Amino acid sequence: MRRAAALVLALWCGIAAVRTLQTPFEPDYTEMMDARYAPLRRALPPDGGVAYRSDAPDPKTGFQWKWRYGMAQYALSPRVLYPDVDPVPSGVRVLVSDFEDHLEIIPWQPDSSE
Amino acid sequence: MAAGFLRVAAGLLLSGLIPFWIGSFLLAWLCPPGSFLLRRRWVKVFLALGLGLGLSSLLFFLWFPSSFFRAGFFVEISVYVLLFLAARRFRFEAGSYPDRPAAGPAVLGIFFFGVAAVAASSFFRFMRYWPHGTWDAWSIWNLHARFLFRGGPHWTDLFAPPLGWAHPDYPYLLPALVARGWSAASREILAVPQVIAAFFTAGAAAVLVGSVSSWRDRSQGWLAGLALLAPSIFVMNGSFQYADIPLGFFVLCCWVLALDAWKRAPAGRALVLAGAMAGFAAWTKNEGLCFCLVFMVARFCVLAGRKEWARCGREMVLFLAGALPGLLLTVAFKMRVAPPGDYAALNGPVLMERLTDLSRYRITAAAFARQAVRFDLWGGIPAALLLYGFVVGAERRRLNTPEGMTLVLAQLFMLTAYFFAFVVSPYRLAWHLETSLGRLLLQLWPSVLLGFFLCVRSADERKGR
Repeated sequence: MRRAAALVLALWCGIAAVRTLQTPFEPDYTEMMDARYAPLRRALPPDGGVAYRSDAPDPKTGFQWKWRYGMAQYALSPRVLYPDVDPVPSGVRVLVSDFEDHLEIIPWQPDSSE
Repeated sequence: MAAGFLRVAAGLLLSGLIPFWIGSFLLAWLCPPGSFLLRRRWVKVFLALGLGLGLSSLLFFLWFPSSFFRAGFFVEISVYVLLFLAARRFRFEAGSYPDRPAAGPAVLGIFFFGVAAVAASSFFRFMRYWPHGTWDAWSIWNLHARFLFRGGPHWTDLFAPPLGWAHPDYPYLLPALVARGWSAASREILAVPQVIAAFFTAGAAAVLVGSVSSWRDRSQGWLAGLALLAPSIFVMNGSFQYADIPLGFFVLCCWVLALDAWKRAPAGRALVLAGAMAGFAAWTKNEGLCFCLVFMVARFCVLAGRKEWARCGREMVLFLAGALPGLLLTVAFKMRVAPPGDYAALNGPVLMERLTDLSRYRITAAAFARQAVRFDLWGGIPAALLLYGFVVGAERRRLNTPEGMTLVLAQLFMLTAYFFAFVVSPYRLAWHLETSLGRLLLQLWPSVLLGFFLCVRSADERKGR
């Protein structure tokens, strides 16, 4: 009786595991962000490089731009900005400002230290 | 090119090997001879790595603001600890080990390895699709790691108000581990958080199967492993690089080590290791802090009910001795460094309003109940286990021990704590439940399965122990 119950439980687990394997990839943040920021994506330079590093604080907020970079990188999802690139490309092209509602591209001078 | 690759590979290998050695020495030092830990190779490997990685995370976080950042300082610290431990006891305990676990029906083993292969396949499929992990991974854990790795002494810029959405007050075990790996490789590579996620996911399964097999029989161990790996929520959250699976791993390891320690009278030094795992749980997520408290309260209640005060005091001291590093760092970080968390904004009147709002209890209770039957996340496994337990029955002699009662009581306390965390949630309740409840229950899932399969009757009665 117990063996039969154990086998039924094992079978159940097996079915559940196979269902996991068949789980379709649902639209997630990546797709949402892709749609939301499609204009931005088109505006990015062809090489996709948006990395920017500087210790100079934002004159308006005093906030360090490099962390804005970090925010933007992930707000836009890595797949959008860096579809196949690992690690993130260096070199500066644009700086993406703000996290959600005030997204804009700010042209920026290349960082001479890069 | 090749030299660069070799340097990265060597750095990563070393950053994994050193924690393993440290963890192995700790196990050999503190686990008594005859412990099942010393004869279950895979359990030992994962416990040792868990201990070592937890310790390495603490050390890295303590040292990284110094000028040694990115200068291989973690190697120096790790080697220092290694030498210290080696000087104390440079050998594994030898002893007469108990019999090998009783074998179970071979078909269950075949089922387990089949499901493990399917789970591994699902894991890598998800990881390939989301190489950076999903939401919490890139917006919290790996983002924190990038601040540590890139920012050095400026990592606290993460606490700037515009980044409040990144939960900078969350503990740093996972970010520090990832940053440590990147530091070893001298670059940010996706493989580091991915390997860490794979380790904790596989580790939870290995420790669960190994411990249940040792204390009962192999068929129980296989079934426990099947029930852990089958729900999609476990494999998916593992590959998503969330911190819930590492937390579940540390909670499970804490129970395994504590149960091993409690098998001897008086409880052995392995309880220090259980405390260390609980401390690492606290350093992983806020819920880990709650677990530390709950563990001690549950044990105190059980021993106080039996009026075993001396035993209670001794066990508390041993447990706290191990938990202290993780606990101290977590508490110090939260009190001295991190900005206040979301729950800190709840003041007295708001708390009272939510605690007296019956609709919040109803919504939360309904969400808890729904989780048990959600086939998309749990594959119906909780309901199936209930049915299975009803059919095969429980062994009362295992439940009616201080150890069994502590385990059950602690799980109930944790569930109660989670329940009230949702009742007073500072977020929109429906959203909070929808996005968090499954993951929170997942943190307890490995240890719930440990308790369940230690208590229910074995599928193979003659060989069951």
